[in-house]
Amino acid sequence: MENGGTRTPDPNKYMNPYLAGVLLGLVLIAAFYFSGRGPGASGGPKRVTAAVVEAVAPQHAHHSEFYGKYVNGPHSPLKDWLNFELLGVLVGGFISGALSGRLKLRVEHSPGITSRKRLLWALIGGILFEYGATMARGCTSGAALSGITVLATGGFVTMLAIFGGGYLFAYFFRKLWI
Amino acid sequence: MQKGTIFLTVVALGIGLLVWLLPERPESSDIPPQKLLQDLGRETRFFSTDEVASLLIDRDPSLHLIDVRDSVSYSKFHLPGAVNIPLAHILDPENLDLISGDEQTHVFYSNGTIRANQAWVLTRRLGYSNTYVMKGGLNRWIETIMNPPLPPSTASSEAFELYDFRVAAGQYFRGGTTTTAKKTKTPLKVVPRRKKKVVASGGC
Amino acid sequence: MGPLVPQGIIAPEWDFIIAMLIGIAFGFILEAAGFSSSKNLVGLFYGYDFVVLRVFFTGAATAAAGIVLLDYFGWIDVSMLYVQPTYWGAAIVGGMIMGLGFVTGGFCPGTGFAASSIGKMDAMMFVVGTFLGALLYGETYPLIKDFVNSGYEGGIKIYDTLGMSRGLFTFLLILVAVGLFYLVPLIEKRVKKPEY
Repeated sequence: MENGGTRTPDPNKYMNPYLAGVLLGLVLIAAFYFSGRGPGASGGPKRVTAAVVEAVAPQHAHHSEFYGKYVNGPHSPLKDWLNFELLGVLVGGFISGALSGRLKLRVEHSPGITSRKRLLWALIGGILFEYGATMARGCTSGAALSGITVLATGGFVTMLAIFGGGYLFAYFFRKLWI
Repeated sequence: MQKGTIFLTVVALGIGLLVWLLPERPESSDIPPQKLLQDLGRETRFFSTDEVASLLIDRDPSLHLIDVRDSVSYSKFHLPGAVNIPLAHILDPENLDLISGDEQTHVFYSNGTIRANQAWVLTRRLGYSNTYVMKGGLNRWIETIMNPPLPPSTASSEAFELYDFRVAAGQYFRGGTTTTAKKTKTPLKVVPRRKKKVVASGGC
Repeated sequence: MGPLVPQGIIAPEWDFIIAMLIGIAFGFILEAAGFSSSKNLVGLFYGYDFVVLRVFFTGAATAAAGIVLLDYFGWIDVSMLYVQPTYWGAAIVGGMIMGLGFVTGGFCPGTGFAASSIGKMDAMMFVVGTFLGALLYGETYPLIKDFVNSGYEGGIKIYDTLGMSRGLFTFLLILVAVGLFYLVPLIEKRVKKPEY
């Protein structure tokens, strides 16, 4: 591919998925080997939200059966393995994006919809996803990936439910994507 | 199909077969020697005579004392509630059963510490982890509980409290008094220094 | 013998540093594999991009096999690893809600963070949504708490639930991963990928 002499990375070139998979597997093993647990994601926003609720409405937070789990202990919910891991995810993603020439502030959306519509549905999707993840005690990273690594039944069930739910509802939102 | 693909497929399936056909390790497997050495270096297996006395006075049901001396010594004198498993028989199946429970704290003792330590090492190697040693054994028991040394007048208040406790404990064990040993507030309350197996916390 | 921090072999202060390093590796791989694009991610559900399937299964199979091997060689104490607990009702319903969130939002929390880091504003909105979702959950918790805590079976393992040996299940998992490697391209040949 002609780049006018300079070698710029092709933003559309991604890592071989099987290589990525094996590397991912090694990262999972490393997480369990060092910390005894796998990476996750949904628990981060959960804990940060609990911390914010505690700051804004402490009585409510401390009396709540849900928030209480995170704010009634000796440590702040912000001081958690997951939050540090998620900061790392931001860094790691950024580095990869930088090396591949994919750093760009934009809204990625299908040409069939406006970027405003995409943003709105992204917000709704986020709300829904985290709601489901908190209910299932994990998301695709924490419950499915990490759960499957230790062969936990909960991990498999959650993963199947996520993919099943995705397929079930995909048709109704096809206009967002294709 | 490229050679690389075939190779990787074979490797993957090979690992799969390996994982399937590997024998499962038994639950209570031998502790590796390095770990044993590591544990030996730590002090966590020891109970002091004061701690044992405290538990006995409390009639703590979780305490399970095991006298590893021969049966003649045992019948002459043994600590209240202790069972006798002579060191030579410590590996007999019925005896191993006695120390396998997780609900009880199994504490070996002998006259000194050597034989109790040996019992501990032997059983620990087999994976029995809820086992401890009374440091100093019966000799120390006599030195501390039965004949506690009076601290010098310049000693700390904790030292005197410990002395008071020991005097009272000694009387309790001799069975001669009407008063029960008074518990002190100093760290005589046994805080188990056992290393409980901690599962990592997690969750998304 | 691992896990190093829970065993006390590494001091607990290091745990957060380890977390961050794991996160960096995780985020890097996610982005490099293309999981920083919602287009690629939902491709699985619309049949035009199966990268999620490939990476996910390969990763899970590698990790599961790796843990089993580490256990066999005595390098890790499996009983000290965190096992995702099973809450039947919550896992199924929560999972399906997540599926809905996936096809509407186009991300999951992990990929949402990774994509945000490269400037995807839709991912950033998704992440904002996750905070709101957690808040919504916290506020509605009293209503759903009985359901959400039902069907609890603790950290049960899939091979026990299915009644087979651990080794056999792991082998099957690897078999599926390898099988997908051959099957998926056949499906992909027939579908066109949208360009945008």
